[in-house]
Order: sequence, then structure tokens, then C-alpha cells
Amino acid sequence: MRRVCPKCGSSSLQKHGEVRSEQGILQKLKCMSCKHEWHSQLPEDLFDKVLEMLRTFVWDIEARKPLSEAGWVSLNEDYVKKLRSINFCEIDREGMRGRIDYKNHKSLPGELLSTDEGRIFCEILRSLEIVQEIEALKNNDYEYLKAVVAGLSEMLKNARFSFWEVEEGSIPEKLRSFMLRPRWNVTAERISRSLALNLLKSIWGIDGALKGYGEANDRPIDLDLLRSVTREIEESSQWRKIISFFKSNKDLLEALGLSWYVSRKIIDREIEYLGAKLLAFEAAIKVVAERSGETINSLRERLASLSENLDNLIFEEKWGVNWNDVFRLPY
Amino acid sequence: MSSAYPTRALRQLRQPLRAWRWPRREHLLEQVFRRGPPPFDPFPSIQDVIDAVLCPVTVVHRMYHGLHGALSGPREIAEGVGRHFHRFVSILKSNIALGGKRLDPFTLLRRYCSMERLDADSESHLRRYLSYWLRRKRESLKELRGQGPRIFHEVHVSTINATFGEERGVRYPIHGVIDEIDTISKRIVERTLRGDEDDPNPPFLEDFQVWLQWKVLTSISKDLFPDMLRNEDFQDYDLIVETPYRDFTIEKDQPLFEKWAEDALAWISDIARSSVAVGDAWQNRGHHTRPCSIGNEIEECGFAWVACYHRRRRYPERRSALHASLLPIYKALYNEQIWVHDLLLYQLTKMEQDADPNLRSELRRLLTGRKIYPLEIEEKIGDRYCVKIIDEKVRMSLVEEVQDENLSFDVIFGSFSVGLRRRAYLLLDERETKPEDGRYLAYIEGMEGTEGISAFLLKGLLLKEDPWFLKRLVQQAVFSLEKWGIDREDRAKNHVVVRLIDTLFGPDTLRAKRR
Repeated sequence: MRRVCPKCGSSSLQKHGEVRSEQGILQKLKCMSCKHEWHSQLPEDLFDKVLEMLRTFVWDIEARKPLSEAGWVSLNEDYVKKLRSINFCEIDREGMRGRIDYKNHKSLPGELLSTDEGRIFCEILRSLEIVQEIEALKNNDYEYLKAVVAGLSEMLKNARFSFWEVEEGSIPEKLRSFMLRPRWNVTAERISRSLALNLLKSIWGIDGALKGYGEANDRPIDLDLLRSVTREIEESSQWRKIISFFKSNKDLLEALGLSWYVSRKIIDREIEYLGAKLLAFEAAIKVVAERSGETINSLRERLASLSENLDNLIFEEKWGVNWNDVFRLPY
Repeated sequence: MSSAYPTRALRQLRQPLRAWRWPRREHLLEQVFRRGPPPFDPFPSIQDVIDAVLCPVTVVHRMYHGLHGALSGPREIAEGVGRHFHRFVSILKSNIALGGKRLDPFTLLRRYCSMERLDADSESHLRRYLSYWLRRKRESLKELRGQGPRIFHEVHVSTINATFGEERGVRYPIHGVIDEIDTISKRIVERTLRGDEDDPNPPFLEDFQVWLQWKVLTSISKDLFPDMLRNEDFQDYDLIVETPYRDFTIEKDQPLFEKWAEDALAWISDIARSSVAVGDAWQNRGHHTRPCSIGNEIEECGFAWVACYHRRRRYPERRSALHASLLPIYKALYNEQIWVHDLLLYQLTKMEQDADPNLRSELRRLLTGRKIYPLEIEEKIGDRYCVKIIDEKVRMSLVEEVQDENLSFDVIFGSFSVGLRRRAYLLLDERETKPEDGRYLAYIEGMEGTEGISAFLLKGLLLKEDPWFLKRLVQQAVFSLEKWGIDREDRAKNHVVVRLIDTLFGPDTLRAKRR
């Protein structure tokens, strides 16, 4: 647990006396950086109890307890009385237990939210929102496919297109000269767009998706050369093998797409805690598994062997792309 | 006696592997393009296995963030004191066994500290631990006098044949270093500064460590042992965890340890194979008997506050996006380490242990002159040694190597599978050094007991060939950047790095000032 100054955010604080209030004795603190003085909104013992509640909530959610059962901490009479005076706790008088009212978490005082426990608690809640959004996709084909497509385009945008060849000179000349150009990353983004379109058309028959993809970075480029290089990849036997592999393993592509969709949401909602991220990724895999009628474990096992399978597909080629740097999970 | 671990495990054991993913022949002989994630598992060290037993998340930090050695020593002492203590004890024992001058151990310690330029704090810690240790060891040190070189320190072991559990015949590769093999008292010793005076049990997982070292040692064929160890029956040896305060004898029959080792190796393989296993590792974090969570961390784990629950700074705010961008870099650096370092470990071990004699000789041909240089010790000149590279064909290759000013090498006396690892420093400017004849004057530490044993130089220090360890350092540095930040808003607003990160990874804008 680490307290910070509400004014400047510094964690260099000093205890600076006490203040009596109805709730009890409140700790007075002074920031050593900006000299701001204030007193805690909660007595020390209550502060520690609330932190315990935050921790318990995190433990329980990570142990996959349902929300209704998460975060309860047993209390004695004294705590029950004290906690009544604050508005962000839920108290179960019969069971003599209490927890943070997660629906009302915005009323948590800043001094609690700025602790590590408080931040992780908030990230878990944001992650649970993502979980709900992902679960809502399960029975909505259109929205589900839209999310998968958005995720796949995100995956291809983040792909590292690196090439290999068995012998020097096996990579087609045009492609090689393109790869050696200083603006290869711009080109790679355009190629990835084209591959994404090709993939969507081949697997789901979707045409004209991905509007706006790559256009932000549009800079003058030798379009004829780009087209011929893209054609070189798309018409290569390895790309055909990749397409045919994913045609018969559509759920793998969906799992990748949905995971990248979730990844985007995680970034947008500024979730850093690994436990919170994994909650959302797990939800994505679960939705795909349920839609395709297979067990989560079997889907996970197939995802785990994806890299090897992609490698095996193109093992005998003379040159190739490192497809396992393209079709990969975002974590 | 053995440590008292609760028998009821709190987390489920990982499904044991059906097979280890070994590098194929063409990988070993470097006939294929090194690219992307390696299609084989890493070559784990004993320390990696212990880390994975401590907590599977350590494997994730090892892979992505270049962190290793999660099991930490006493927090109050400076880093490296444990290493110096072990080194000093080995010097003290060798000095006595070889009938050196009768010096008071504390006088010898003073000399050691001044030679190593240790600060006063480290020296005082070493004195304290040594005084505890000597209370128990004075008598046995007396008996050691004049026994000759029969205690071996820093024994390097490497196997491709470790097996655990009775039913499954899965073979695993493991390498590591044994602190001490004492052929007089028939003991394998793991020395540590961890633990307290009153502890009834050995320090957490130290018993597992010495047991694992013994398992590795006993999985290696006798033919590969150097002469002085070839006739030893290690099945009869005692396994000892030695703290400054007490010696603990560890039982060899440890069904629980067998399961832990299998479990740890399954984590190492699964996480290296796919990031899908990262989620499982996080769900199972902690030891089998001691789960870990925020506010309830495993005290001995050095990663808990450094990596898992590190302090969270308010700024930069776009750290999540920063992490997503750094992830491919972490992975690429890890892949490179496996292709360079772990593959070499496979090559060197298989060069001696593979069942196929053709592969063994092809590997020897491939590595000699590129990674290893067989040598013989010609004579001792003062405290230095004249060494000669045996194979004329590889002499020029070493000349090129030293021209690049790479003068520090590891020397292995014996075989790579079981050998004494020592550090050699080639002295190029000495009169006796004649690179064209393959002759070098070298300073080599701890040469006692190595007479007449075949030896070879390994390119680079501490197996740090083709500096793969720099990639690990880069991973650590990148991870530090990811965790770095500041809390104060006023400073964050004007801090260039914070602004730069938030601009690159978020909606923030940054305008350059015109001078």
C-alpha cells in the first residue's frame, strides 16, 4: 500500500499529527514535495480494512468467483458500526461481513484509489466491463463478426513481416528490393491491408471491409510495384496453404481476431495489471469456444500449437514469411 | 533430514509433458535458417527449474523480461556476498587440503577481501557468516589438511537424459553448477547464506536444488566423467544443504520433488511454446504449497515486487499501449537467446551424449575452432600457466578471436557434461605467448586438482558466447522503462520522456520549441 499526495501525486509523505472526528481519529499528513497538508478521510484501522476488502475483491475475481460472491470480508460489530458511516461499502449484517460496493466505486476516496490496490481494483472493474461486452457478442452474429474483423485487421497491422529463404536469391526479386527500402514499414502496412482483405474474402466472403485501414499513413508509394509485390505473396503457394488451413480452422482465426479486439479495448481503457488483462482474454476464448461448440481447453491447445502448425505448412517452401509473427496472440 | 513441506498441494500439477521438443538434426548442425520462435524448447538451467518450482510466473518473467534467479537471499546483505562466501570457502578448503601455509581463516579472509576490493560492509557480513561457519567446521578443516585435491568446487554438469517420475520415460535436458563435490566425505554440497540459526529445516527449496543437482549428475554416463570422479558412486553420496549455522542432510528418495521437477519443466516448455500458457501460469502463481497474490506474496520471491506487483506510477498514462508495442521486442530478444545460447548448449551436450556417433562427431567438427578450442596445460610459470591449443587447424581461429580483444574464456577441465569450470585470462603481451604456435600464457583461477585432465576453452565468458546475455540485459532495460514513471503531476507535465511516451502511444501532442 502506498499513499500519495492528492495535490501533486508525490509519495513522499510524512505523518503530521492527528485530527479527531465522529468517525474516530484521522491521520494528518504532509507532502514533503509540495508541503500540502491534509487529513485522511478514514481512520487508520478503517483504511486498512477497506484495503483488505480491495485485496479480497482482487483475489476473488482472479480466483474466478462470481461478482456476487467476490470481495466479502468478515467484520466485527465495531467495524459494522464504523462502515455504516461511509457510502462505498456494502454490509451484510446477517453474515457479519462487508465489501466494497463495486457498483458505487466512483465514490471511493482518492487516497484509496491512488494506492496500488485501488488502481488494480479499478482495472479489474474495467476489465469486467470488457468481459460483459465480449459475452454480449456471443449471440449476435453480426456484431461478433464485426469484432473479429476489427481484431484481425489490428493483428495484421501489428504483424512483423519478416522473410526467410533457404538459399540466397530464393525470395522474388521485386519483393527483396521492396524489403530493403527504408520505408519498408509503410509498405508492410499496405501489404498487410491487402492480405487482411484477401483473408476476409477467402474465409467469410466479406468484401470492402476495413475502410480507413492504413489510409492515415498514406504517403506517396509506387503503387504498381506494391500491387505486384502483394500479388507475389497472395499468389504464392504458402499463402494459399495458409488460407486453406484457416478455412478448416475458422475458429482459430476468430479466437485470434477476438483476442486482438480485446487487446485494443485493454489499451484504450488503460489496463496494465496482467490479472485484469487475462480476464478479458479468457472471455474472448470462451465466447469463441462456445460458439464453435468445442471445449475451451481444446481451443486453447490448438491455439498453443498454431505456431508449429504454421511452420509445418511452409516447411518445404524455398522462401517464406514468418507467419507465426503475423498470426499470433496479442499477449 | 528433509524440509517439511506440507504434503497437500494447493495448486494442481501441470499435465506432464509427453515429450520434450528437441532441436532437430538440421538445427543442431546449423543447416537451417534461424527464424522466428525456435521449434524446440529452451535448455533449462537448474536455476530455471527452481524458479519454475517457486512459481510458474517466473518463467514468464525469464522469457519476456530477462529476469532470472527469483529465489532471493537475505535482503539485508549486499548482492554477491553469498557468491564471495562460497568462493572464499573453496579457497580456504583448497589451501588446507593442499597443505598450504597455516593461516588463520580470518587473515585469509582479509587478504581475499582486499584482493577482491570488497567494501567494509561486505567484509563484515563475510566475517559474521564465517565465524558461524567456523564454529562447526574447525575440526573437519583440521582433518582436511594434506588430503590433496579431493574436494571439487564449481563442477559444471549438463545432461540430456534427466528423467523424473517412474512411469513416464520422458527425457529432459538440464545444466548447472554444483557448488561442491567432496570425495573425502562423499558429499554433494549446496552452500547458501539463506536461513536462520534456529531453523529446523533447510531454507526454502535449497533441498530441492541439491537433489536436482544430484539427479543431473547421476543421469550422466560414467564415461564422460573426468578421471578423478569416474570411480565415485554418487548413489552413495550424501546430499547436504550447508548454511553458516547448520548442515542438513537431504533424502534422495523424494517423490514430491520428482513431481515438482516434472511440473516445472512442463511450465518451461509450455510457456516457451505458446503465450496461451501465460494465463495458466498467472492463475497458478506461487509455489505448490504457498499460493501468491497481492498482499500475500511469497516472501522469498525476488520477483514479486520487482515484476508481478511492481509499484505503479501515475505517469506516463499510456503505459498499456507502451507495453503492447514492447511485447514483440521482448519476444524477439528471447527467440534470439534460444537460437544462440540454448542451441549451443544442446550442441555441446549432444556432442558428448547423443546416441548417434555420427552426429556426435559432426557436432565436434562443427564446434571445434568456432566455439571450443581443446588445449593442454604445458607448464606453470609463477602463478600463471602456459597453455597450448592442441589442434593446429583451429589455432588461427583463436588468433582472430583474441585480435578482437576477447581475452577472457571459460576453461572446462574434463567434459562439458561433467567438468570443472574455471575462468582463464590470456596474457597476450607476455614473452611466452606465441599465438602462431598456439601457445598462450594465461592466468587461470582455481587450478588445483586439474593436473592431467583434458581441457578446452569455450568462446566467451561464463558461456556468454555471441553475447546472448546482452539481449537479456536489453530485455531487463526495456522492462525497467515499461515500469518507470513519476507520480507528481507537475513534473510529469514537463518531463520529456513522459510526454514523449504519452504522445507516441496516446492522443497527447508534443510540439518542439524553436530555438
